Amino acid sequence: MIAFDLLQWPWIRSLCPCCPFSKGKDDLGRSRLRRIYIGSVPVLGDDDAPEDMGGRGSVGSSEAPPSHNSQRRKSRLDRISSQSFSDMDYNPGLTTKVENPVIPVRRQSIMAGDLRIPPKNVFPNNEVTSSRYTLLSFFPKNIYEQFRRIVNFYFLVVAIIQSVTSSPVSPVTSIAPLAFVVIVTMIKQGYEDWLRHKADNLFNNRPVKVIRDGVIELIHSRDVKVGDIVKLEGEEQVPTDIVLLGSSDEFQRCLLNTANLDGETSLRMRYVPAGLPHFRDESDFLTLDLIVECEEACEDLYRFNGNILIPPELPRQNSSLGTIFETVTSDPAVDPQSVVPPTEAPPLSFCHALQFSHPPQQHDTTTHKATPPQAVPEVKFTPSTTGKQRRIGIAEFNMIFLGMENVILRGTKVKNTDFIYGVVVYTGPDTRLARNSKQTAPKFSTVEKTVNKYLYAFILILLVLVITATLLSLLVNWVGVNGENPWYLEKTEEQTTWGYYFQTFSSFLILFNYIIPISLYVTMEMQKFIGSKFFVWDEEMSTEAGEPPLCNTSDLNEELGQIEYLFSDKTGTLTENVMKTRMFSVDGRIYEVDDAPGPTGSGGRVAGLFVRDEEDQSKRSFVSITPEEDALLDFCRVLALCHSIQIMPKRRPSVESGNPTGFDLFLKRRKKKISSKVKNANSLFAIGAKKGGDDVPAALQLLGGNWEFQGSSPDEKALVETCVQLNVCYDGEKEEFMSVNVCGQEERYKRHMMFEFDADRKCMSVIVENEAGDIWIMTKGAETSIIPRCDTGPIQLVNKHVLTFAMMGYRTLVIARRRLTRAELDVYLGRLRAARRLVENRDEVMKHIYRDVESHLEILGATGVEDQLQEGVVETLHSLGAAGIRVWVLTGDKVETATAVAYSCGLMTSFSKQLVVTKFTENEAGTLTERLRQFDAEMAPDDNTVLIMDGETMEIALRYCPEDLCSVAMKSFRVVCCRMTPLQKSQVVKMVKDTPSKPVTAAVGDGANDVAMIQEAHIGIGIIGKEGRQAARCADFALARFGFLQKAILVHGHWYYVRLANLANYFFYKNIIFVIPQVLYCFSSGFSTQPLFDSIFLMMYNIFYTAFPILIYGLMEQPHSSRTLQEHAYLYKDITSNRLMTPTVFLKWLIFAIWHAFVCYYTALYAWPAFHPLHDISTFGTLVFSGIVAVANMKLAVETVHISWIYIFSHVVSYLAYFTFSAVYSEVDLTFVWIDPKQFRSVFFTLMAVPVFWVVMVLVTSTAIIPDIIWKGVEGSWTSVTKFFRSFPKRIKWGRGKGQGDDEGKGGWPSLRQFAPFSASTRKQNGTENGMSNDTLNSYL
Amino acid sequence: MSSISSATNQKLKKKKTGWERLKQQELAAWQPIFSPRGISPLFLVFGVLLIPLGVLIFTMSKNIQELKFDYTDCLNSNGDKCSDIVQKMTGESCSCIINFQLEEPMKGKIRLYYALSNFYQNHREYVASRDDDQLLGKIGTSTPISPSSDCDPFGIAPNGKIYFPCGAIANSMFNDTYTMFRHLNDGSKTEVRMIRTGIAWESDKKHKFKNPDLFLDINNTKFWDKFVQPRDWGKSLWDLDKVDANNNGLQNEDLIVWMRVSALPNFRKLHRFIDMASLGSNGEMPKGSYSFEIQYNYEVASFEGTKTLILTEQAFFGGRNVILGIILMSVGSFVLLLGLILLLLSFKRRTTWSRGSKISRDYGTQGTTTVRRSKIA
Repeated sequence: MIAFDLLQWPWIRSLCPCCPFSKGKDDLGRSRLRRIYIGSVPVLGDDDAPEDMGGRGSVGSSEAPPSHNSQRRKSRLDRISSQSFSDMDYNPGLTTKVENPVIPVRRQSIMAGDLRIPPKNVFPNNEVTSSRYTLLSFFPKNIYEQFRRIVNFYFLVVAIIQSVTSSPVSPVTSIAPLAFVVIVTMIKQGYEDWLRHKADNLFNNRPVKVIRDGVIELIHSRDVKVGDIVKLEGEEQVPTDIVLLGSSDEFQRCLLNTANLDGETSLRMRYVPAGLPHFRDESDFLTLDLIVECEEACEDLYRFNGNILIPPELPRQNSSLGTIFETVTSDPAVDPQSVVPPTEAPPLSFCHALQFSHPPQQHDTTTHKATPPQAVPEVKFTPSTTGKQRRIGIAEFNMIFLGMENVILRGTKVKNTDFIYGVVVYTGPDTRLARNSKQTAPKFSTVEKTVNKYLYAFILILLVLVITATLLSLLVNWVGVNGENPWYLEKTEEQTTWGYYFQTFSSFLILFNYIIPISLYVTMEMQKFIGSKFFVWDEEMSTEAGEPPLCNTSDLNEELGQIEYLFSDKTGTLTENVMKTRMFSVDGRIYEVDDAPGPTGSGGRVAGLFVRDEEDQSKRSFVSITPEEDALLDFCRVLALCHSIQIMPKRRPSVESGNPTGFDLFLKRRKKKISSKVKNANSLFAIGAKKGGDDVPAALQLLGGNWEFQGSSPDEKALVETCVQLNVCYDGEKEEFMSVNVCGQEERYKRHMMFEFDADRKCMSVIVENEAGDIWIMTKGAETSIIPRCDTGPIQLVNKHVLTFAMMGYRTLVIARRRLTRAELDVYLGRLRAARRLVENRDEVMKHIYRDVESHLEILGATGVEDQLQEGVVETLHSLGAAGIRVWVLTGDKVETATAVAYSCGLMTSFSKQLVVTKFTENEAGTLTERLRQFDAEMAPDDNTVLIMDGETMEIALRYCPEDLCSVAMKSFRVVCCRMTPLQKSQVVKMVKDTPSKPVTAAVGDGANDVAMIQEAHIGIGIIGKEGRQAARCADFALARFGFLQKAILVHGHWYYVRLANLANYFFYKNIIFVIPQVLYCFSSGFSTQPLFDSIFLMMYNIFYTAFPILIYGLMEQPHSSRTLQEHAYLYKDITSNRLMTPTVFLKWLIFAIWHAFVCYYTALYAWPAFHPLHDISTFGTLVFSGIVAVANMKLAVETVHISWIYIFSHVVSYLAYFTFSAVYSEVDLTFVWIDPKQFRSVFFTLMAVPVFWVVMVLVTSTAIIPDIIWKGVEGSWTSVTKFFRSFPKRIKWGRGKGQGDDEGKGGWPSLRQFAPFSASTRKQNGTENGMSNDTLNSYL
Repeated sequence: MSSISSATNQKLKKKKTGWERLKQQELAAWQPIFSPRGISPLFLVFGVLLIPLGVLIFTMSKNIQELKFDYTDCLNSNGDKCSDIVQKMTGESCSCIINFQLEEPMKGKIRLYYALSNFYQNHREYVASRDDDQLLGKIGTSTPISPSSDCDPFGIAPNGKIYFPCGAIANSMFNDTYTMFRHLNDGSKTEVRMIRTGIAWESDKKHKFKNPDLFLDINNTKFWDKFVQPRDWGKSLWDLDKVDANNNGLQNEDLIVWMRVSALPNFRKLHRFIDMASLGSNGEMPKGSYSFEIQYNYEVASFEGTKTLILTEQAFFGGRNVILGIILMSVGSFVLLLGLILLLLSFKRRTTWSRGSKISRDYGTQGTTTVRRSKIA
């Protein structure tokens, strides 16, 4: 049980977010493994094994094996569970025996989970269900969901009261609108769910080729089970997560397009696990016996831990397996994961082969492995204590470890490979894709929250009205006629009982309940849904390539108009994420890389290296790389070798073709020269075999044709391309050799190992061996992680140069290497192999290996890669600033890079006061707190202050003095946070979100590292960038460029907010003017709850008579034109802080509503005698009601700024609806549909025929609306005056410094080519600000 | 202005259909500007419209002759107050006479209204207290259909018979009767005949009230075995109009008018038209002295109501209504005044007021027009 205690260690969990410690635990805290059986695995010991040997290699999943031997298998499984693995637990004595045993290598008790969970329930089927309802559950579930909404529930209660008690109006008046609303919502949701069903079915019914009994069977995707062997052919979508077992590729690899998963368009490579036989035919699977182990389903897209267990003895007589089975590798130096051994290796017997590389884990053995001379981390297993010793336990199996490189996830596409075989390991909801597409918590917009508050307020108002009316009613009963009714009104009921009081109360409740607008939510939803289309349609927000903006949720449209804080990522968001190599620092000298061709005769090179003259910075001289230039050449060799770039067929012109890089231009120029020799694509990797006769490197020939470099890191790509330009060409990889063409001479390197880049280490390494047998480890990475590991080389100079590069806004990488002895190499390889065998804890162990390998390096130099600012960033940031939005930049980059970018994009000017708070350590928390307090006291809120912090300091501040930090940060005009982890980013957002003023925040980012922040902020905006689509998928909105934010926020946000806020206001308004006459009428009807309006009016008012104009308003209103809003960004301040829904505004609407209602009612009342001989209730009600409809619509017309023909049409429709419905209802005999107008019969036309009616309408409308019009005029001129003055200070503040202004003219990127990152004035400014920033800056320079 | 959007704008400007413009939210639209200059014409127009209307209605109402006689407390020939006699519920009849002098001849279709005050015909329970089916004559063929429970407590009489018609409305039907006389100079008087039909809504007569087929025979004893006249009625349903069979029973227009309940507690209901033929004059009621002989049956004193008899001409604009005219005139002049003030302001203080909003000034519109075409750039 110690193992499980270990699991509780928080640091393990935090280090390993995906490993089974933290996820996939059962309720006892045990971690689970899933085990998949393929074929008949003789795991049960000798007595059982022979029987199984002949078992068909058909599909055997632990879930309901389909073949006839299921019974047998089941019993076997039972026994496996009970005997072999039950007691295999963590043994504390079994640790690695390496020189520094830091982490115990543990063997997870494999069956822990399986024992508890019956196999049948373990694995879900592969059905994808994104739908929320089934045919059966739709109705009850939907109804339930709908009535959880307060409005619907309220109306349900009212309807019930109405039906139960004797109500003044027919229950239909409540039930019908409610039913309408519910049915409309139901239809909408049903339709959406139907679409989801359709999509699900499309996926679920997609045919999948599954190999059963050696033949291909076509089954539906939903029927794919864990353990099935699937065959996928080229370009096929992968239906589920599989482990690759075989490939048509001669090197047993497979290319993938993972664009659906992470948005990266470059192809990925996957490998068949080394040690498996080559499967070339379906029949090969007849004899396949395997156990695949893998961890429980988790979310991580980049990590997979598992094993393939192969039974130890497989003396198959009837199998070709023995012969086709190949050795894993005979050369221990070759990394088994990356390269499959050459085919010419002598075939060995199965057991032998495995013995060679993975010694069978026998009881009580420590190690049999002899190949590496050093002690190799060894994994031991205790024997099953309960089982018979002779039985074959899992421990005796041969094991092949699996990693992400062997796994193909659902959602990817097989590319450039004829066919692959794979065994299904995760299905349906367990797949990584499904695990990653979980629904995020719903976000609510400010307007929606306010509307809910309004609702409560209105319920309160309603109750007050009802109670008052009830009391008055009782009073009238009691005082008015001395407790007796007039003779004409004799009552049956006792009028002093509680029942009577309740009856009166409920009657008034029913009568006045229309004050709460039932259709508000429906209209809001329709408005949002249709409104969001305008966002998507906006051509000004789509790129020329036609990448439209996305609106993933329409719930937050109007929140775009409320943003007060904008948190922006830097790379890919503010910048293009198109990299250009600009600077090298080699051997203590700085080289500039330029597209400008060097002096003629430099042999095909286009780019050149230049060195600046020490004295005269404007002069620079050309440097060419020659084989003699050792340092430069070594540097370039590292760049050409240490990367994960692949040479791939050229993709079709893709979205990324934003700015042509220098390299593209170069290729274009070269194209004429090079006859485009299209390579035949027999082998993807046979590049470099053919050589052109001229001096152009082979790679370039290819690149000029249909090949190009592809890689996930744009920095890397830029560096490799630069090397090509400098005549150090990476020519591709043939077998295990990487070939580099240095100045026309081919050099071949054997790659032993590659440690891919990860965010924790911030570096990557390769171990290569050249033809002379020299072994090098080459590393490149962030200077913070590399420099501490360097022992030799110009460390100080490189450090300084890195800072210089960074201050110019370049992304920096440090290059280092170390020579290895073969012995060292063998040790490392051995350790690595051992570590890779682990299912769990593998990452931990790997980390230690990495740490050991990447140490004692020799520093070679550094690179500076430029990432250009996106187009329009400066203008956008400027506008957003003028709009009162505080922009914070949260980046993972260095302080210097971030600062430089902040300058160049205008977030900082030379007038800005900088508060640099960086490089604090835990011990200095006190000082930090003090500093922050001091700043806090000194700062005026409207200072042009920029706070610059780094992640570590932020972390400390958040822990020790969050209030002070918050206070300083909120007072600062801009905040730049550097070196932020994704979690810290979201913490910052949360900090701002939770301040007492509760500002509305938005986060913009493009990468997976921004997802946390995007989800945390009120509004998440994704930039559809090159780092993938994950941010765009998780965000609420997605745009192709940062520059589009200007329109999205200033225009769309403004419009959406004004539309929705006024829509809500108007809804409450129109229901007040609807109900107040009813209240007033009580005074005329002796508080007897007599309704003034006919049922049809009660029903139709909200859904037809006043519905269309407000909907059109909600969709099309433009308080200011798009241009105005963008030119006068300060207009945005008019709507932030929910300005249109403040109590004052609410009161304004309320007062107008009351005025309008009084006008409608009393005008009708006083004009009423003119209608003689008409005298009845229905006619009077219709008169009042007609006034209300006219006024309500007219009020909206007054409020509307943007009156288009559609808007006018909607008004016409509104009135037409009123006349048509009322006329039909009143005049046409509708008894055949059980509609009985009762006293309303003929009223409508009778009333219309009276000329005074029209006079009254004109009178009512004009009297009611005049104050509105006057108010509008006064308000307009008042606010325009204040607005005008208000705009001044900001304008001045946003005036730029001179130096900056010049730079902007050139597209926002300051001319930083000179070695003067800060102008003199800036430095002076900074120097005088405060001691700390001075110090910090000095330390940079 | 961001260079991206302006560039795209330029590019897109060419080929825009209406639908495209809608999608890009670039529909041409009008924007009202509420500057004094912008709204003063509106106000002036309304003022100019409302004032004449008001004047028209006011003068027309003034010209309408309307004679009102509150006879609530009228005395009978013995000098007793009829209200007291009626309130005693002795069944004793009381009649009183109102004499009046018509100064100006009355023209057109002269109507006789009765008006009640403080009578809550709009009380919810009163309004509901009717059975529409029964009023349509659906009372059953052999066995009577019980009235709707809405009628309670005027549904079924204590003796088990069904009130016909049932309900509080019918029960409280106004039953004063008036006879009008013209006093000639020679002291003789002639009765001025009144028309009893045409006072109810045609639709009510057509759709809402119908005598039952079965029991048409008013003397049918079988009918009165099952049904009984409403409690407070002095006479049977079939005695409402003994002359005109079509105006009798449920189809009696007095009943129909009564059954259309009033909106307000003070109301007047059309009762009769003066039969001009009986006056023998050419379409007008000549001046002279007249009298009403009132059969005072209806009790209003108990609820502090009043009864008024109204003789009136009908104008083009409905009935006489001075108040409406006054409202119209005052609102109209207020609007007109406002319009003038605003007009003045817009000339005088153009710089501050007519800006309307600063934005419109930026556009160079200067707020000179009421509406402007806000075509998006």
